[in-house]
Parts: sequence; C-alpha cells; structure tokens
Amino acid sequence: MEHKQQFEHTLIRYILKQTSEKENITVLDWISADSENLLYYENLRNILSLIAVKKETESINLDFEWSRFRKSLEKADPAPIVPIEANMEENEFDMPDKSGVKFRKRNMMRAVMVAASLIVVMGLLFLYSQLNISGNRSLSKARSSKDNASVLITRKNNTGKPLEIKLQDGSEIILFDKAELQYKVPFTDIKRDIKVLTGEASFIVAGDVTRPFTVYSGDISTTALGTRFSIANIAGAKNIVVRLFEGKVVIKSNDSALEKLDRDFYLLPGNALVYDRFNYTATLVKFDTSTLALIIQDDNNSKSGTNKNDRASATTDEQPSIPKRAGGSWYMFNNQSLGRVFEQLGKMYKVEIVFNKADVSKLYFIGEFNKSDSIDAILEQITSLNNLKLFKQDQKFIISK
Amino acid sequence: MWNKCLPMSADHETKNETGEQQSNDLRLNDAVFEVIFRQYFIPLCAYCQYKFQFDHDLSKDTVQAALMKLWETRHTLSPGTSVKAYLYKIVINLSLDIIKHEKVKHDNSRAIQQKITAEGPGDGIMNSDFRQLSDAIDKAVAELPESMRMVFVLCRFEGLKYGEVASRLNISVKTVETQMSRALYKLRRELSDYLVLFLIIYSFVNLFRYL
Repeated sequence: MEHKQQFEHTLIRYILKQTSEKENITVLDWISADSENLLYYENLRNILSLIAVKKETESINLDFEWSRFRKSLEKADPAPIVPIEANMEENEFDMPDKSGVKFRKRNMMRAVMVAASLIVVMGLLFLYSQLNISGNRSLSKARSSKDNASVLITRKNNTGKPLEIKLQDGSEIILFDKAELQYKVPFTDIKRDIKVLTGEASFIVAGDVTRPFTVYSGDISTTALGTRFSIANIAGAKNIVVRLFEGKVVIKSNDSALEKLDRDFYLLPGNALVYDRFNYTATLVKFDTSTLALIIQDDNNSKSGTNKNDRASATTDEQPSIPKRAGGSWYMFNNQSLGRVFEQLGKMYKVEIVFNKADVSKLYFIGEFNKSDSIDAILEQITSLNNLKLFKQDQKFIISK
Repeated sequence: MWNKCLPMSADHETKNETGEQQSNDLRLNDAVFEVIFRQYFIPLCAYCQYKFQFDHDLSKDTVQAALMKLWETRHTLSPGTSVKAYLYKIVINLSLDIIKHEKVKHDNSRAIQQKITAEGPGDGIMNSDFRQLSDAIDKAVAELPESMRMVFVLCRFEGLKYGEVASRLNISVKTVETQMSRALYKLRRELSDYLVLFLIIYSFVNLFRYL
C-alpha cells in the first residue's frame, strides 16, 4: 500500500493533466503492471472525477441547452416545439412546469451558494495567509489584522521553575525558567506556530496532521506533527539545540530568503540538531535521553571498552540524514563521564582542564572527534553542547556551569 | 402551431416513490418532453462524464444527441417503458460508439478502456440518486477542514500545481501533498456509498478495500 501512496501524487497530477509525457508513460506502465494498480488508479480518478463532474454539470444552463436542442430540431423538422409556458393553456391537462422551474431555480440557487461560499472561503483564507506568514512579522501587524478572533500571546517564565502551558489543540509546553514564547490563540486552521524568543522549552505536540506545529527560534524553524521535542534558544549561547524525544520533526531555515541551513534536517527520536548561530552550521547528533547530554556521532572503535559501539554503528545506518565525516583518525569516548573525558583530553593534548566535578557529574559523553581538531574547538563543542561555560587562561581551560 | 398533441393514457404522469416525474406513456405531449429534457439533462451529462470520462462539452453533445433520439423515436416506444431507462440506454450506446470510433482521446491504456462496458438497467440508479448524490458531495466537500478544502479546490478546480498552491496558501509543498491526500481520503470515505453505487456496474466489489 505504501508503494501506491508514494505514487499517489503523481497519479493525481496525471489525472489533473499536469504531468509530462515521460511521466504519463510511467503512470500508464504502472497502471498496466498490476490489476491492483488499475483499481487504485480508478478509485482515485473516480473520486476526483465525481466531484469535478458534479461541479461542472451544475454549471449547465438548461435554458441554453433547451434552446440549443430546439434549434437542432428546427433544422431537422421545420415545425418548432412550442415552449411550455405558451402551451399551457392549450393542453387538455394542466401540466405546470413545476419541476422544470424548480430544478432551474434550485440549480441557480445552488450555483450561487457554491460561488458565494467559495468566495467567502477564499476571502477567509486570504486573510489567514496574511496572518500566518512566518514568525518574522512584527507584533503590531499581527494585532491589526482583521481576524480579531486570534490574539497574540507572549509568555515569560520568571517563576524559577519550569512552567507548564496547555494549548487549545491539546499540545503542552514546558517553559523553562527565564524562557519566553509567543503564539496565537487560537491557532489557525492550517498551522500551529510558536516563537521561542529566548530560553528553553519542551513541547509535546498533539497529533494533528492537518496542521503542522512549527516552532520558530532564531534562524531555524522546527516542524512537528505529533511529537515530543525540546528547543533551547538561549540568548548569548552559541548554539540553538533541538532535541527530539518522540515522533518526527523537520528543521528548516526560518527565513527562506536567507537560507541559513543549506538543507532541511529530519530528526528521529534520540537525535538532536545543534545549530551554531555564529557559524551558521548545523550538526546532527544523538543525545542521551535520560541525561540529555549531547553525543557526537561515532563509527570507530577505540579507547573505551563498553559495548555501545555496535549499537552506535548500527544506528548510523538508520539515520541516512546524518552527514558523513571525512576520514581521519579519531578518538572516541564511549559513555564516559564528562569528568573523565576532560581528564583524558587534558592528557592527550597536554593541557590543563579545570572543572568542578559537581558541574559535570551527571553528564556523559559518547562521541568522537578528529585528532587534528584543536583542543579549543573540541572543548568548545563539548561545553556548548552541554550548556557549560569555557574560559581559557593561558594554557588552562576552565569549565564551569 | 404544433398541435400534434397525442392522447395520453390515464397514467401519463405517475410519480414514483421519490416524487420524480416519470412518464409511463411515451407518446409524449411536447410539453412533457421539455419537462423530461430539463429533468434528465444534467444527470445524464454527469453520468456520461463520470462513467465514460468524457469531457464536459463532449458529454453535453452526447446527451443532446440522446435526447434528440428520444424525440425522434418517442412515438415508437411501447407504453410502460421507463423514459429514464431508455434515455440512459441511448446515452450508453452513443458513448460506446464514440469510444469505439476513437473519437475520444481517452486514457491511453488498453486496460482502462476495456473496463468500460455497457450495462443494463442498473444504471438507472444514477438519476434517482442524483440529487441525493449532489447534496452529499456538497456536504462532504463543505465538511472538509478549510485548509484541506482550499488545497483540494485549488488543485482540482483551478488547476494549480502543488507548487502554485503552496505559494498561494503560503505552506510547503509537502503540506499541500498531505492535505490533498487527506482530503481525498475523507471524501472517499464520505462518498463511498455513491462511489460504490456507481461502480456496481463495474462489479468492483474489491474497491471496498480502498475506501
């Protein structure tokens, strides 16, 4: 069935006569290949056709058609048919043209109603489209829209604790301390948009395939359809991090005019996207779902002895969207506590890394990096991924929370 | 003046259960003919267009021709014949002729063409349900969520491509695809009765699977 569904849109375009010659041939081959395909095609065509036929035939003007008929009759037979109204008096039985007139009237009424409702619908949708252009619109513009059923809400959490927000569509947001969000109430009919202005928030998105749920945070937007994910857009921090727990999201550039991301990223659960807002780079990594520590993807074996390796390589294959690193020799840490990682890095690069054990106690690290990477870069990466601060003093690196 | 008013039998104007006018006696009064014309023209066009996948103009031409045939043969029909059934028969025969003589640019596939066959009186269902079907379609389309309906209408009736719909509605092409699929799914479900009715003539009971 999936095979057919993939093809469905090509079939639709074929039926709507939007396909090229080449595509036509492909479609016909597909249809002739299997009787099930033929049935599927016909079913699709029938539903599209049924509605189109109904709409087209409604527009038929019976008066016109009747007079056309009479004209052809005249050609064949010189004596004309007397129109029904004139004939009424002469008939021995009373034959009022009730059904004909009714039919005509009903037809016209229906046509008018359809036209009117279409106009209304288009008007409304036009308004909505004005309102929902991506999050870069200013507040005042949104407020001044004619659609006064929708209000823009800004929530900021100053309580010191995570704040739970329940949305109208059933979605839930956990707004962390000092974070700020903006969204419309109610959501529109075709999308659910939220702006994370600053800070971190977690989202549990209620499934609604007709309305994608999109969170805008800085340069990137994350769209989900029924999912649990978090976005960290901390002011001043180098990275915007999106972690996916459940479901599926796609992450794109927020502003399509200035595409900061060179492509869309699809996340699967357990993945996170780390977007460096200064270098405009994005990296797909995994994260530990219990500790939330970010993990840099690996496919090599080395230092550590645990068996996570096999699982890690296996999952590389499952994630085709993860960019492949160029070769090089790698160091790998396999689920080491971050403290040990720092110790080892210090030894490897012969630098002193100072850190507070308490700060890093719960953070673990699975990942690898190129030997040729500078220790500065490595430490910077690790610390920003885990929301730690890095200071450099001479040859000393100081890491703190 | 056209005064060939032939005598009508006593039950010239009987209404069947659905309240539609049906003349059992086909020695028609001309006034009745116009009534019949107006009553059946649109359902016949819809039938022709739907079943034989003719385009709108061709189906109108075909129905005009069919009604002409009815007019020409109206005195030869035996009493008790259903006008409706007779008309449908004419439409079917004319349509098949057209297809046979390849006057129509059809779906090029042989497989598809072979499926179109003439059937018997079962086709009469179309007319009696036409208004019902019409209303059902209106309802099903109106019940679509606005976004789905817009996407569907823009694609199907305005002939916009997915990309154009996407920019018109300011959504992604992926969303357009999703909406279109969902709209079709919903419409299929809502109108499954009618689709099945129509397709009974094809004996495609299998299609329940797809609905």
